Amino acid sequence: MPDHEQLLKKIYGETASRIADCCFRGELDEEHMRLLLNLLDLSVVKKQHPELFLLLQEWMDYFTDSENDRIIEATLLAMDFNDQETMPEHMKIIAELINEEKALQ
Amino acid sequence: MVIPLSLRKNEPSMEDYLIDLESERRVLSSMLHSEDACIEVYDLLSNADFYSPRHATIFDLAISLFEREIRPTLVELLKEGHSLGVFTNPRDIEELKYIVEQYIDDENIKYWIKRVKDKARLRKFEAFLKRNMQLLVEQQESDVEQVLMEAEEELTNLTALEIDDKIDSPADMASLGYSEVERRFLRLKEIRELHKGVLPLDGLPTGFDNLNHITLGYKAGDLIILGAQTGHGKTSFALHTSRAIAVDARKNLLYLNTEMSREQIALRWGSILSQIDHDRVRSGDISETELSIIFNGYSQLRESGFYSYPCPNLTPEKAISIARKFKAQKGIEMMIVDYVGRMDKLDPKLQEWQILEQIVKTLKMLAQNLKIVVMCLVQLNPDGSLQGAKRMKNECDLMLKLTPIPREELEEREELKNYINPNYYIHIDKNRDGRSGIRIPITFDLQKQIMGDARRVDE
Repeated sequence: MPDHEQLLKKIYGETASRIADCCFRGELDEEHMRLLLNLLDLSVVKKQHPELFLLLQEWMDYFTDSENDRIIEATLLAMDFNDQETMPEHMKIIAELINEEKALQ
Repeated sequence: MVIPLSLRKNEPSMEDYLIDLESERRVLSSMLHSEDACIEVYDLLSNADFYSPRHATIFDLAISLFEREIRPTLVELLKEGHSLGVFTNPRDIEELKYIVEQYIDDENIKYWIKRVKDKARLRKFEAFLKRNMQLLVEQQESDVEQVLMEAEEELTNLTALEIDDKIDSPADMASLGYSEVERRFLRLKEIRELHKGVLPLDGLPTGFDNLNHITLGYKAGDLIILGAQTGHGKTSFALHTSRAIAVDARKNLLYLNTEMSREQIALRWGSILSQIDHDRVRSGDISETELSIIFNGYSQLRESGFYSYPCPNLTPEKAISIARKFKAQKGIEMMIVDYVGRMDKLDPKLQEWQILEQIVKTLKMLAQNLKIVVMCLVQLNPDGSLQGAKRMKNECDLMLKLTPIPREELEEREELKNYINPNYYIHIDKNRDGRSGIRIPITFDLQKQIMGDARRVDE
């Protein structure tokens, strides 16, 4: 296995266990732990929906902890990452909310 | 004086002989990285084979995810473990991380499974020795013959029963025989009283009333061979069978096709379920009403248990692997291989008949091990014969041949005049459980891709 893949595996393992550990210590609640783990799996193992990560990056650029931001967070927490049919719908909602937030700013 | 093993310098301790945590980790790691590994492990190991309770827990979690068709990645294991409250200690997470990082995807999974299995058997042997040693110390007055007999029986179970799944004792065999006879007696009574003489099926429906009557259905563990010449209905027969089992009876069935694309199979279903000519369905030459009929047909398919796996480079190993996966995840009751002649060769040096014999043997074992029906389609020679037929016939439980009825026979054979438009025979060449040498007249509508019993004139 090439070096970069081994490094990726190491980072993946380290990140996943760090997230789970934070939940053990009470620094992260269970639903946030699940969200972070799902995002990690999506990017490293499943390699699906790269557009979601662009959306998240964009969200962070405009994040002000507004009403819209809280709706985006709730949408992310409610997403079923194993359901390929509902994922695009959820991402569409998130994109619309980000655009609305951008317009407000 | 004999020095105990553990006290000898530079020699492995007893634990080294009995425990192999590295192999356990490699097996688990392979499960986290490869679906093929999951399929192998699912069949060959149980949680009791792991020495480390933590490893046994991870194994259970991974198997549970695999059965639900969720890839057991580290993240999925963490989520599942958290939901079930099985990871109670940060060290559990550390161990899991260690497994993922240190032991990467390993193609040599069978080797590691064997190591884990062997150590588990050795631990059972050690427990046997300890138990008997204690017995000797505590019960010195016991009957020597009795002690040795009991020890021998236990030891025999440790070796023989690990290899043979189950050995029937005389009592088991008598009990099985009686319950089978009783079941048949009660069934016949029920047939006479409730079903007015119509035999209920023992297995899956064949899609033909006459074939149902003779075979009582396709039974779990059976290998069925269906032979037909090129262009004479192999795939139509396979899909007709699929319709009877997966659409009408709603049982789960796996269809492996080595020749056709997904689109071709889907289009075939369109005409089978709507009874509209296949050529018209394929070219789109249909009315709006017919489009609506076809749509209704596909609704039936949507609700059915038909799983299709188009696989142009199918090998016997791949067929085994796919069947195991679908048995574990979908509970399939039947697998159809369409068709054997297109399967990739195991060894290019072998003759065609030797290859076919090997494939058929493998499929028979698969049917018995997974307790499913396996039907494989083979190609008949232009003269209606089958290459390697004798050997194939030995392996299968039911051998059927689909052949067109010659024109002369249609004109001359009086019996056929009792049927409306028969054009094909299903010839029962071998039937392990019943009558053979019978030819059942059927109608095969090539345009609509539909088959069925030839209806009698007086019906």
